[in-house]
Amino acid sequence: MRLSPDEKIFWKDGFFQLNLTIVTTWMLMLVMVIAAYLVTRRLKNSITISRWQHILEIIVLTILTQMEDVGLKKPEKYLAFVGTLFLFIVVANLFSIVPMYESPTASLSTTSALAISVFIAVPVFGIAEKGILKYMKTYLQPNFLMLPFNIISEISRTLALAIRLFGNMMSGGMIVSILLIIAPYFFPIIMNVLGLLTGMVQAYIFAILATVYISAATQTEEQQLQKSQK
Amino acid sequence: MQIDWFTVIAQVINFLILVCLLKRFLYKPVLKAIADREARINKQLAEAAASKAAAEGEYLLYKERNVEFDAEREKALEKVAIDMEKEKQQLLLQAQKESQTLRIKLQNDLKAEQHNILNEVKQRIQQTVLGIANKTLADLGNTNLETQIVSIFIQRLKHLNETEAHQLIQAIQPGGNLVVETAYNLNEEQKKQLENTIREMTGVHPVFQYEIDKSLISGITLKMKDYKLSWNTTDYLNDLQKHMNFNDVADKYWGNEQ
Repeated sequence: MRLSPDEKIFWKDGFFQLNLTIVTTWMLMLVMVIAAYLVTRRLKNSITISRWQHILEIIVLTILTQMEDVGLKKPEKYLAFVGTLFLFIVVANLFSIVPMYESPTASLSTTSALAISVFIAVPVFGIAEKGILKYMKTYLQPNFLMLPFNIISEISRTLALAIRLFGNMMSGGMIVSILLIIAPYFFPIIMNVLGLLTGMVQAYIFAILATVYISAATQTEEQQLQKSQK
Repeated sequence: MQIDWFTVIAQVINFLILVCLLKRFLYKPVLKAIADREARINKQLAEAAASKAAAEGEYLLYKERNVEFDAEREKALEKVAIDMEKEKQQLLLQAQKESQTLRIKLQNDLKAEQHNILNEVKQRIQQTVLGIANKTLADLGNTNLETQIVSIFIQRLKHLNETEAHQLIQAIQPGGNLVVETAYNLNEEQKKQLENTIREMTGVHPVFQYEIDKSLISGITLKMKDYKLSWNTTDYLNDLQKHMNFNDVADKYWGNEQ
């Protein structure tokens, strides 16, 4: 039994390899970009718009609203990063209704890659917003003794992000596989539906946590003061 | 279950590419469309608000103008009504005046016509009566009216009372012009009779001057300076006119249109 789509390798040359995870990701990227292009090439700014444009606008605006609700100022700046995280995980999990499909998010490599992206993006956004010195100072808060703990916190939360998504996705796939052996006719469908739900929830959690981290890293002292006053 | 680091790197790169692609094909156009639409709606709302404000302004202006127009119209109508009433009164007055003038003119014309007709009737009656009298006298006594008139006049002269006779004597001066007016020519005999009678009565010899006056119809008038003595049938005819009451006859034929 294959636990991860990484294990299905189409081509390998030393360090380089082309496995199912990468291929599926490319396919998903293609689908998403083409779909986005098809809808957005005929966008209208009139009062009446097409239903596909409506759907896209709802999705984009909902993501923006959620980011704003978490406390992120200027969510438009981070929309591309957080929105893509959410949409990629959602689409990857949605495709699990297709038979024989294996979600790339069920690969620890993909979830790690996404977690590492967040791990790198958070300080990048923080430094871009506050400057390197002010950002580095946040590791010394409330005092320098906390520096190791802050660093551990950074790493552990990145690990948690990766493992949480992978665990949930992988477990969903595993359960369906096991149930197929025990009760092949009915239960796998229910578990698949449940898996879809779990996938949506995980996409939401992943995106929200990334937003929270970015929000914490980009928050200025004034905003922190306002928040504590509230 | 292990992490394949090549896959991790590849997925990180894939993810970043996806971020760029979606930013280019999804987020930017959608956000731009939303922003454009919002701007457009805001612009339309602002335009609508401006239009509404303008329309309200126009509405108030026209309402005010309507009120002014109504007031002016009422005023004009009142003025027209007053003018019309004045004009009516004036026209009525004028018509009444014209009618009055016409009526008076008509009455005057009628009276004149009536008078003319009466005069004509009177003259015809006189002529007819005198003709009859003349003819009757001729048939009865081989004499005529003119001769009889001269005779009667001479008789009257002779039988004047004292005062009248005295007045006659005083009036007639010797050598003065005594005008004898008759409606017809007197013959020589008649003239001689008249002249002899006056000479006998007054004892003076005036110069007799005979004149014809058709209006006398029949009769004789003596005139010297301020003195005048006459006898004619006009008085009889006036009596006849009174007796016949020509006015009543005229009213009967023409009706009383006064």
